[in-house]
Amino acid sequence: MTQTKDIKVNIKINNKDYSVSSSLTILEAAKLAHIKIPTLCKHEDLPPTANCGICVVKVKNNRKLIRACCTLVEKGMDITTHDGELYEVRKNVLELILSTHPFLCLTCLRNGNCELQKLAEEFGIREVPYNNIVKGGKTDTSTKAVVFDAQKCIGCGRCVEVCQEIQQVHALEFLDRGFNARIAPAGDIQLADSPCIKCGQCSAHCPVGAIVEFSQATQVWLTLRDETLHPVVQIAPAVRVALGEGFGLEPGALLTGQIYAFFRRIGFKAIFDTNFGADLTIMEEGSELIERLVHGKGTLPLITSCCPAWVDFLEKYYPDLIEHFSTAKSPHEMVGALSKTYYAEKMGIDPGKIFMLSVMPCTAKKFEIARTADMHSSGYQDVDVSITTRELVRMIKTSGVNLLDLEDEKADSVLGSYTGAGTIFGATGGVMEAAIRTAYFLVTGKELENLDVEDVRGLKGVKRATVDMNGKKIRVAVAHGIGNVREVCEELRECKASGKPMPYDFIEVMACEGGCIAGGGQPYQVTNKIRTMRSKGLYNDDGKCELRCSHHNKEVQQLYKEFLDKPLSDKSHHLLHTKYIPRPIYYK
Amino acid sequence: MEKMKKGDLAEFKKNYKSPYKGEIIISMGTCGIAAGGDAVYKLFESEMKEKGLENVKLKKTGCLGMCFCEPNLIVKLDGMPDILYGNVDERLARLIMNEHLTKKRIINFNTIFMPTDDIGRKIFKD
Amino acid sequence: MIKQHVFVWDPTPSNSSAVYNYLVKKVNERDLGESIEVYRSTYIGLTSGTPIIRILPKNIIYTKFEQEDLGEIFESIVSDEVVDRFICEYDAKLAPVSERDKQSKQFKIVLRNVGYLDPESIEEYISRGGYKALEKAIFEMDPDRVIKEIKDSGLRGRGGGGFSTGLKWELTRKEPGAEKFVICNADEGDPGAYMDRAVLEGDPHTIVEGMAIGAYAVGCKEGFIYVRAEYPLAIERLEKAISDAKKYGLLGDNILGSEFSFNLELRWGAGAFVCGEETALMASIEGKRGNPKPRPPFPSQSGLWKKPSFINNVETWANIPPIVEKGSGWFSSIGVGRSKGTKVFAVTGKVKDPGLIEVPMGTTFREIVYDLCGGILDNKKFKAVQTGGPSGGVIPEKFIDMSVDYETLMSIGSMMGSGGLIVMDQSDCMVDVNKFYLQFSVDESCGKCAPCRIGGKQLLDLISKITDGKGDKKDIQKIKNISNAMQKASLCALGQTTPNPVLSAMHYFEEEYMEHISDKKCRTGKCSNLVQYMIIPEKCIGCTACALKCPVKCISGEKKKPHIIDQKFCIKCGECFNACKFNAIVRG
Repeated sequence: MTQTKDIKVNIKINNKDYSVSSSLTILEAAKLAHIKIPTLCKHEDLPPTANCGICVVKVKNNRKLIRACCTLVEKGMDITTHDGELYEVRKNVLELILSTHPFLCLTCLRNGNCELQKLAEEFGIREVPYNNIVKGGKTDTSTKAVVFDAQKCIGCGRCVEVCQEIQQVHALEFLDRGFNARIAPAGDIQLADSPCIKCGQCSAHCPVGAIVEFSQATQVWLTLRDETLHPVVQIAPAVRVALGEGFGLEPGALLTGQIYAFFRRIGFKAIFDTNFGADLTIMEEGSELIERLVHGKGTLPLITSCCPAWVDFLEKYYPDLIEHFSTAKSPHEMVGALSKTYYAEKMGIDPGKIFMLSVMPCTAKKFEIARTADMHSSGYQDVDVSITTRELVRMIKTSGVNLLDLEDEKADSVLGSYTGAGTIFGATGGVMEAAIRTAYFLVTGKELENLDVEDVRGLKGVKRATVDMNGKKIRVAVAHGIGNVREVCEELRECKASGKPMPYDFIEVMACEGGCIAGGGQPYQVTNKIRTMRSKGLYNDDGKCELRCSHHNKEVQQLYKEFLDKPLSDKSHHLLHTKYIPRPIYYK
Repeated sequence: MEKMKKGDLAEFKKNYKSPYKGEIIISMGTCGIAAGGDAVYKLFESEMKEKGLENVKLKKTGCLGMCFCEPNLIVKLDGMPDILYGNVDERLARLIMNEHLTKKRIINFNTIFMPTDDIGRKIFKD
Repeated sequence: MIKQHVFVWDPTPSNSSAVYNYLVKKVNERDLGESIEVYRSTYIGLTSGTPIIRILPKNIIYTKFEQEDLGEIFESIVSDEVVDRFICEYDAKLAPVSERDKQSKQFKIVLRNVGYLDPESIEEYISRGGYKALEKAIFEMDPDRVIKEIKDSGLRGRGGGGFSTGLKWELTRKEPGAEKFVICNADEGDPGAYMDRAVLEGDPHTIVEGMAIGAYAVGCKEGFIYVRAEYPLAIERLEKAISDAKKYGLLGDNILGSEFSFNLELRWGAGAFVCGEETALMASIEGKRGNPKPRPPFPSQSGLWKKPSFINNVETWANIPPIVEKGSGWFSSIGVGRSKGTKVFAVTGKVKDPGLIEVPMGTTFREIVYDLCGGILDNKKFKAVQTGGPSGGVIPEKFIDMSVDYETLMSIGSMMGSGGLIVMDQSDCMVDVNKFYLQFSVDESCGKCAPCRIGGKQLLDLISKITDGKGDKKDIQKIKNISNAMQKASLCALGQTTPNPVLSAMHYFEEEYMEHISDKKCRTGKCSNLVQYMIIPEKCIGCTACALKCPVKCISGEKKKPHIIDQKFCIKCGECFNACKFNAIVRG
C-alpha cells in the first residue's frame, strides 16, 4: 500500500462525522467509531487479501461498492456501513460461500470456535438455496503436526499470506484457477515433502477447520486410563499466559498454579515445568558460548536452537550455517530426557512406565519429539506426546473441571522450579536476556546489576544490541518470524563469502513473530497488541520471581551436583545435546 | 543503417521511391494465412519469376477486414486503377498473372472493392 | 489503354444482370471496347436493395437509378461527366470531416495502414508518414502539451472501460517518482474479437510509435507490450518492428538524437483471459499469479512493481499518432456526444460479409449489419446483437437504430467492450447463448474472490438446468440474487460483468426464458432437451408411418384419421419427424 503522510481527515460514517488518521482503512476507522463491519477473510494480524467480498460498504459518489478491509480513508468520504442493500449483497455472498462448504460442523474440530459459523449466525442464515458443491481431495496428515483438509477450505488466503509473506517459507500456494482454485503445496505434493517447517502459523490463522493442529487429546485421555503408567507433564512458559483466552480471560493472565492443579486432578503423578529446562538450557548454552567466545573452541556467532521449526528451516535452507548452531536441545526435550533418567532413578520408578506429556504453544514440537535418535537419549522416547495450548483448552472443557475455580498449586520438585530467566523464554528476546544474565556471570564472575535487558525486548523484526561484559563487548541479534530470520542468515552468508568478520557473537532465533507466545498452537485471533500483552504476562512473572538468573536455580545446581557433574560433561552431552543434518531442499 | 536524427524522417519520405512498376499485395494476417493465403503467396513467388514479372513487387500485408473473401489480394499497376480480388485460388492467381499483369486486362469475376479508398494518404497528406 | 472501368453490382443472385447486360450491349454497339470496360463485381464496398455502379478511376458511385435511367448514365460515362442525382448519398451529420470517403460509412483511423503496407517494412511505414507524430512530440511539444492534446481529443479507452485516456496519462504523470512504466494490453481475450490482432499483425509500428509518444508525455523509460501467446504472428512482427525501430534510432537511447530514451519489451501471456484485466496483467508481468488486486490504490499510483504505471489497449495506442499529428480538434470532430473518434468492430455471426470494420461513433446497428456487412445470412430475420463479449449484454431489434456509443450502450444494459459484435438471427436460442458466455467466464475466472469463483459456477449450473428442461420459477430469483452478489462484490470487472448477458437476455427476451422454464420449450430447437414434436391434424392423413416407427409407442390414432403424440411418453428421438412424408410433424 502507498505510504500516506499521517494526517487527520474528516469523514462521515453512517451520517456521523469523524476525524481519523489518513493511514487507516475504512474497516479500522469504523472500529474506532465502535462499528463492526462484517469480515471473513481479513485477519487483524495480516495484510488484507480481499478474497471474500463480505466487507463491502457504500461510499457516496462511487457507483461501485468498496471493500472496507483494504481501502484507505480519504478526505470527505461519506461511508454507509449497514443498510438493506448491503445486507442483501453480503448475505448472497455468504450463501455462495456456504454452498461450497461441507455441513460437518458437529464433528469438526472448530465446532463452536469457527469464524464461518459465527458469520452464518450473525446473518441469520436459515437455508442455503444453492447446490452444495464440495471439492474432493484427501486430507493431508503427512507432517503429523498440522492437518490440511482441503474440503473445508473457503479460499480466504490467510495461510498462503502468512506462509509466503510473513514466514517466507512458501510451502502453501494457490493452484489451478476459477472454481478449481485450491490451496496446496506447489507441485501438489504432500506437506511433508514441501518446504513446510511445521511452524503452524497457518493453523493459527485459519478461520475454519481447513488447517488445524494434529490433535492428540484423545490419545492422552486413553493413556491416562492405563493405571500401570506413571504420567508426568511439563508446561511451556508461553502456555500459562495464553490459556486464559480460551476461557474469557485477558491475554497475559497468569494461570500457572491453576494449570498445575488441573493436571493433578486428572491423574498426572508429577507436574514439571519447562522453565526448569529453560534454566538448564541457559547453563548448557551459556557454557557453550563461553567455550567459543573466551576459549576459542568452535565458530562464532552461536545461534540458539530451541525452536524446532527454526532447526528444520536451517537444515533445509541454510545447511552451510550448521556449525553455528548450539548443540543444546530444546528445554522440553531436556526435561523429557531427565524425567526418564534422573527423576526415575531418584524416585525409583521404572522409566519404561513413565509417560511424558509436554504442553507447548507450538505445532513443530510434535515433529521434534521423533526427529532423530537423539530424542531417545534416555533409552525411551524422551517426550512421548506434545500437545498445543488449543488442544489443552479443549481437554479442559472435556474434563468437566472448572479451571478458573481451582486453587493455585505448586509444581513437583526435582524438575519443577524455575527462575525468572526461565519463564521469559516464551517471548522474543527472552532467551537472549536469560543468556545474558548468566553469561555475564560466567565471563566476569560478577552478577549483572540491571537484570532487565530492554534492548532485546519488543516486536521489532530484528533487534541488534551490544552488551558490555566488563570491557568485553558481546554483539547480539534477536530475530523472530522466519522472514526476518532470513535477513540475518543472509548477512552471515555474505560475510562468509566476502571474508568480512562476522557481525554478531550470539543470535537468538524464534520462527514465530513475537516468539513462542504467538506460536502456531496458541489461541486464535492473535494481534501485535495481544503479543505484547502475553509477553507482559511473562515479564510480570519474571518480576515476581525470587530468583531471576538461571545459574541461581537451586534444583539445577542440585542436578549438576548429583547427576550431571557439570555443564557440557559427557553425561550432559549424551542426554541434553543433539546433532544436525544438512537436508538441503533447494540447491543453488 | 544510420540512426535517424531530427529532420531525417522527412528526408527519407521524400526520397523513398519504389523501383517497381506495380505491386501485388496479399493479405497475410492470421486469417488470410489460415484461408490459404500462404499457398497463394508461394505460388506467386515461384511463377512470377518464370513469367518475367520481376518489375512487380510481391508484398504481404495485414488483415484488410474483408474476412468473408479471404484469401484476397490487391493488384496495383502504374496507369491502372487498384483492384482487389477476393477468394483467390490457384486458377484465379494464374489468371491474374497472365491477364491482369501481363495483358493489363482486369479479370471479370471475384472483383471486389476495398470498403474505402486508401485513406492513409488522405489523412497524412503533407 | 482502357480509360474508364465500370463495375456493376447487382443484388439479384442470378447470373444475368439487366444493368450489366445493358451496359455491355451499349459498349459493343458503339464499339467503345477499347476505352470502356464493364465488369460484374461481387462486392462494391456497400450494399443496397438496388443495383450499384462504380466507375474508376474517378471513383463515382451511382445508386437508386431505374432501368430507364441507364441510357443517361451510359452517355455520361462516354462524355466523362457526372449525373448528380444518382450520386450515392450518405448521412452528412455523422461526418463533418471533408476527407472522409463519401462512398462508405467506414472511416479508418486505427486501420489506416492495415492491409495497405507491408508490416515487416519500417521503410514503408515511414514513407506513409510514420514516426512523424513522434518527431513532432519530442521536438515541438512538451509533455504537458501532448497530454493536453490527448485530453482535448476526447479519446477514451478502447479496451472496454471507456476511461478518458488523457486523464489517465495526466494522473500518472502527476505522481511523484522517477520510475514509471507504460504498458500495452495486447491480451485480447474476448471470444470473437480480433481487432487488436489485425493491428498488431498489420501495422505494429503504430503501436511502437504510440507507446513512445505516451512514454514521452508521462515520463517513462521502459515499456511493455503484454501480448497473448496465441498470437505468434503478432509476436513475430512486433519483435521485428521493435528491432527495426531500434536500428533506425526511433527507439532505445536518445531517440532521433534527442534527450529522450525509451525501451520497449514484449511479454507473453499464457492463456488467461483474466490477465487482460489491468492489475492482473501487471501481476503477471511481475511473475506472480494473475490475480487482480483491489483498487484503490490505482495503477497510476502504484502499479507495476509498485511504481506509477498506466496501461492502454492496442486500439487506443493506434489512435495516438494521428491525434498528435492532426490535432485534437480534428479527432473530436468525429463521433457523437462524449464518444469521439472511431471504433473498430469485429462483426461475426449470422451476417453475409463478416469482417473488421471501423466506423465513427454514432453509427447505428442497422448501418453496421445491413449496409456494411451485407445483412443477415440467408436473409433470415434479425434477432439480437451481442456487444462486449462475455461482459456485454444483448441488444434486441427495437434498438437497431440506436447510435453506437459508450453512453447509449450502457443505458440499455450492455457495454462497448473491446468491439466484438456477434449478430444473431431467429435460429439462435438466447438461453443457449447465455450458457456459452457463462461457461467461458467460469472457465476464465481466476478464483481469488468468492462471489465470482462460486457465483459463476452456481449461475452456470442454474442456466444448464434450465436448458436441460429442469428449470423452475424459483430459479429466476436465485439468478437475480447471485447476479446481485457478483455485480456488487466481485473484485474485478470479470466477476462484476459475468451476469450481464444473463440479465439482459432475461430482460429483453423474457418470453423465451419463461418458455424454457415453465413450458419446457425451446422455440429454436437448440436446447435438445426442450424440443417437442407435434402432429398438425390438418396435414395428417393417418398413414400411421410415424406410429409404426415410434420406439415407445406413444403415437395413437385410427387409420386415415389424424394421429396424436402423447407428450408424456415422448422421448424426443425424432423418428416420427423423419418418417412423415407429409410435413405433418413439427419440431419446436
